Amino acid sequence: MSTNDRRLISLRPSSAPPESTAQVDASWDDETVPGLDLDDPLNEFDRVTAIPELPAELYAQRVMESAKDSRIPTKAAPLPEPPPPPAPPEYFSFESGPPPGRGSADSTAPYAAISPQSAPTARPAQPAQPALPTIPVRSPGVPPFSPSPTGLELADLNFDSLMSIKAAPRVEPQVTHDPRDPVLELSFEEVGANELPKEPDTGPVGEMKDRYAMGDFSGALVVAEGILESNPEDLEAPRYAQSCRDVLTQMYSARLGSLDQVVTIAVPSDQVRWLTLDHRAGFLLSLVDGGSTVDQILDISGMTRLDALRIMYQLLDQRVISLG
Amino acid sequence: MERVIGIDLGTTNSCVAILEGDTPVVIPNRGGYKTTPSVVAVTEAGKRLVGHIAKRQAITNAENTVYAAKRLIGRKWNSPQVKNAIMTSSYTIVEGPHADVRIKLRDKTYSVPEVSSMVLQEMKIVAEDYLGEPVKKAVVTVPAYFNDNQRQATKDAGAIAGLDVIRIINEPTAASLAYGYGKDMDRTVAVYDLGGGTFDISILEIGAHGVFKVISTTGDTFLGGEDFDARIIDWLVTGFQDEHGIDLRQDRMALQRLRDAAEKAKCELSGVRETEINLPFIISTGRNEALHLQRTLARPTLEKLTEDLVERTVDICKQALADAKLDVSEVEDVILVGGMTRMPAVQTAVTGYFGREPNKSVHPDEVVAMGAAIQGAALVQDRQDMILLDVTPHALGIMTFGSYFEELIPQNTTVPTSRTKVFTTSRDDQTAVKILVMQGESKRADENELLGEFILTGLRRAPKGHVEIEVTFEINTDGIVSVHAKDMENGQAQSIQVTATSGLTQDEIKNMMDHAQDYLVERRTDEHFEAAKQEAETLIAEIERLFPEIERVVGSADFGRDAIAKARTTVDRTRAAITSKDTGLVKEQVDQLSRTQRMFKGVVSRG
Repeated sequence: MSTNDRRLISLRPSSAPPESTAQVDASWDDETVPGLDLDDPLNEFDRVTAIPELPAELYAQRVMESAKDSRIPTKAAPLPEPPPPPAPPEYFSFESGPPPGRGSADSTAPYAAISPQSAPTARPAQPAQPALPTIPVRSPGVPPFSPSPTGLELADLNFDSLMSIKAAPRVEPQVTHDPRDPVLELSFEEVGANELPKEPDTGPVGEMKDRYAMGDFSGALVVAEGILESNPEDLEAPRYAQSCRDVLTQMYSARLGSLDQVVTIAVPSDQVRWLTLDHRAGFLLSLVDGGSTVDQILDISGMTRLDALRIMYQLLDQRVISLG
Repeated sequence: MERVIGIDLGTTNSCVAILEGDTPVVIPNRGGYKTTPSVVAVTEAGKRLVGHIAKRQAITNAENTVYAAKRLIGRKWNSPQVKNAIMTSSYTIVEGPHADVRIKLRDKTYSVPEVSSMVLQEMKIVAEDYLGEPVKKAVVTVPAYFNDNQRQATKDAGAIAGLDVIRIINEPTAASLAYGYGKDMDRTVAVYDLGGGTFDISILEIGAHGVFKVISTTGDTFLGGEDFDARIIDWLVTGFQDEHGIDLRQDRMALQRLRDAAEKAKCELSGVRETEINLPFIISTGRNEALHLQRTLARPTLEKLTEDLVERTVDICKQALADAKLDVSEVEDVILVGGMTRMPAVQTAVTGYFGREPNKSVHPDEVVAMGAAIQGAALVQDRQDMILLDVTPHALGIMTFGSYFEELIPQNTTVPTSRTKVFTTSRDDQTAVKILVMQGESKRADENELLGEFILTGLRRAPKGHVEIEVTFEINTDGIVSVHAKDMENGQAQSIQVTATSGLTQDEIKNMMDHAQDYLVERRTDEHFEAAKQEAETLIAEIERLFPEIERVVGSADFGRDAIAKARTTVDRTRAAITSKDTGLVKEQVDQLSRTQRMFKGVVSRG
């Protein structure tokens, strides 16, 4: 990523979910990313869903600096097309590609666009929300559109770049927001001389947005579900929750690889009880019979697909199971 | 010659067999099992699951998993069996448009024959995979007590699955065939069938020329292996609750594991004297701690837990012999059917009651399918010595004065057949008579099933008993019952044709057949894609493994670099084809990958 492209944005980062997760780069692989030391307990990128140890503002700054282009388009120009995703160092294949006959626009590219709709989700699609342009829901059969840069572009995140980010001096914002986008926070330009800056939302909604912006999708999801529990009519929480689920599902699916792999137990049976597992992991483990694939076990897991993927990944990470 | 498969469509498990040469062979499914659970489910993602995989999530996805559909097939919405099922089933049963029964799974409703067709389709696929050719014809077995509507519903289920069910035969009859009976012998046999969900005892008279007469059949449609499993689950749950104060039944995941473990332990105890039940992390406590369940179950304990169930089967056997008006000593052979008959305690009880060792030379959970396969082959080969004669499963007659049932065609009469009886009016000046056609064995008409009715009018006014009406029952080779009534004085006549119905119209059946065919096509397409994908991925892995060596050997030369670049392009194109799920494209790339792999291997071996 060219340093010339880096633009510091001192205003509060937009916490709108991306319009589409089609460009999510979930191909990160700890073993192939140089400089990423998982054993380093201070490594803040060990788990992208963890809350970073840096102050929120600084962390958000660093994240935004690494963005290829701003989420905020220029006033006059139409929303630009995002650059094509870079070729991955090694091929990564999503099994949850578009169904046959509904090929995406670039179906022959190494990356086929991922449809949040085609990836199994734990919850049924949310009912139509009031029109907010940042997260349109793609109907089946409709080819994926280019994501708007108004959302956080996870595809633009590159761990190599993040590792080399140094704190840059604060500069005045040089971009303006699209006034049509109501999700964005007010920019400093819009604040009148006699007006006090708007207080950032410190409530649950604000926390949800902050966590989402910082890449803590697990945390954002927990907060979103908490909001829905206390206020089922909330408009933003369902969208954030669904987006978090989609992203997390893709991330865990990417970690597991092909869902057609057969799952086997990697520890001797007499040692299983000495592991540190909960009953849900124990149930998932009981479904492993040495012949069922990841996909089959997910189908009969009795829990949401996201939960099952998360537990399956944890079991793989702890080397309790192996895939082959 | 066209192949005909024999299918035992069981309440809990189904089995498919075919005759190879002179030997019936049971066909295993992809998992290597010779029986397939008769369970259908729909996941949250809308995927259909059938068989073992559906059974493994039957509790965690209880509302959308159908089991024991056989208890509902061919029944009317207002029948007591359906009312009972509504109260006891975890899935939703609703009324259909023709007073029939429908089952709701996720956002769709299915008729019962349609659900059963999914199991039959699965058995069809198993057979086709084994034989490597399409299968169109089948013989399907049903319980001996099934009436015409239930039999027709089973045939409709076969039709929806794409099978021409050329014959429906009784399960005890099929079992007797598999044991080699019916070949010029006269014997009285008892068929003791203890399956996964039901118990049936049938007394058969096997005569010469392939006539199998079911002289009595009775049982309990809610007594089977699952009840034995339930006793083990109770024992485990009670023990765990005593130890930890936690009721495992409250957690679906724990219950699913308990059920699977109980069934496994039960089966193991048929061969060993004790077995360990080990379920780590069965439940989590509120303190973030997971508990384990580990207990040893011994055979005597299991027998103690289930002795009343075994005794109940013996009591039902006594009833069957009483119905047949036979003494137990007149039973010349006992045939065991159903996986539960492997249990030593069951075999001991049967031996004890009948006073003879049961015949267990054939696998009890395969014997019915094998008999069906034998009959299917005989029909196709037109082997008259082996073909069973169709018999009426239940007596046919009409209702008479005082709500009595007057039998015209007795049970087990071979078809085609025709019987006539003369009746008289029961009231003075009676000018019309209502003929109610009924099926059943009870002397009381209201205890039998009404098949149809019609009215004969224009009778002469006369004192009761003075006008004679001739009633004729006819059953043709297709099993269609026709009833004629004629005034013997003036020749006035009326008639009715009774055809069995499953509750589905022909249009509905056609529609369901189309859907089933679409599902089959989609599934086969997926299977072909998976096979091609696997082959492609194997080749890609091999080629990528060889890349470093190829680069070392020829990477410095132009032609070497060119070959490597082309190979990488082929690999990328294959991956793209896999992503797009284009089977044809993947297969094309597989050919290129094969050539590349051969070339690389050649270079490496020379390098």
